[in-house]
Amino acid sequence: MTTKIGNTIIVYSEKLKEEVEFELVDENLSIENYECIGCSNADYGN
Amino acid sequence: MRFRKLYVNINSQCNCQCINCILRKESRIKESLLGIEDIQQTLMKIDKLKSKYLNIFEISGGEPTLHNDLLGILSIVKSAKNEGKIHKIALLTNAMKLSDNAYCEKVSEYIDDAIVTLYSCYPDEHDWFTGVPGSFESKIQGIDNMIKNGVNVHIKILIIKPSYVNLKEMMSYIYSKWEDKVHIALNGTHFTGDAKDNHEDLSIQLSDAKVYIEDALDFLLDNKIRFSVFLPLCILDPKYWKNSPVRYKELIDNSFSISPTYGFGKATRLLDEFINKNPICQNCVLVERCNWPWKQYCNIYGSGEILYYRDKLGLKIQGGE
Repeated sequence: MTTKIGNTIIVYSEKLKEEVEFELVDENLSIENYECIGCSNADYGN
Repeated sequence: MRFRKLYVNINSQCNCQCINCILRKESRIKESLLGIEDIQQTLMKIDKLKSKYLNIFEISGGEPTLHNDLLGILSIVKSAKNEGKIHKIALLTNAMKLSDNAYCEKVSEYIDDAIVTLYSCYPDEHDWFTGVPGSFESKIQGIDNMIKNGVNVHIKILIIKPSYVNLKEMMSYIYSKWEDKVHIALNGTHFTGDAKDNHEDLSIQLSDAKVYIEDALDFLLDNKIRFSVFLPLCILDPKYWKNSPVRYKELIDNSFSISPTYGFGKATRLLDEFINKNPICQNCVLVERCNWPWKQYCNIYGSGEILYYRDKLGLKIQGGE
């Protein structure tokens, strides 16, 4: 079961076979490394 | 640092006929353009919108390299960047025209980043997507040229039916070509425009693709290739969650869209997809950190698998629903 403590999530990873901590708001991460700048055409038609 | 984007569609024509295009074919045939004056007016509007956010000027189309005055537009935007009004200039392109290195060198003088979608690592399969024989070879050469000219290239990979089983092979191909010099964005597909009409040929349920996605992500981690995931986090093992975008909601919420058809306004489609989340995701603990184009996907497949994985991982906030 997932636990939330402040902005930290503690969740079990089946891949890693252990609980991992995940930061919901991680100020240490740079958006430069993670941004999606491919989602353009913001007003494409349906 | 906080960012916002200016999504600027400078034209509608394209030299590809991708079956997953989010524009409709008729809108790609009928040419509509933004010219130098439109861009100048846009920059003036942005200048008046004083903000704590740094502007990322993202130029797209259609295919923007087909615009006769792309270099003129880039020159103006670059001047604005030199004046501190723009933080970064990005180009969303299929890179085919940039296979001509003389042209690529000129474009690369102005842009910081480029985003190119790669459909497959197999030329025939890739060209089936684009409807243009030889598009794979031109695109690869275009990417190659941009990297050599110092552009930060982001390769967008879509989870789509014909190629999802080869995701790891795609990553391996990218690594063999450019090692860790590119950033990869692994995305869900926006099923709108032509992509909506062709969704039976394109769409794959993400839970069916999970094992292939995770194999591909393991390859990226093992080889230290930068990547971002724009997929429902609950479907992925938590091992990969740290590669979900940070502050993306804030980025989109403060962004603007500029196009020949709709003029200047908020990036409403992206707001609809990425900010106004699936109702069952509203009560998920990851709601602020999980970004993917859910609406049309859930229209096709429903929300059952999201609900299943959300509850399996215990992500529902107590008291919700």
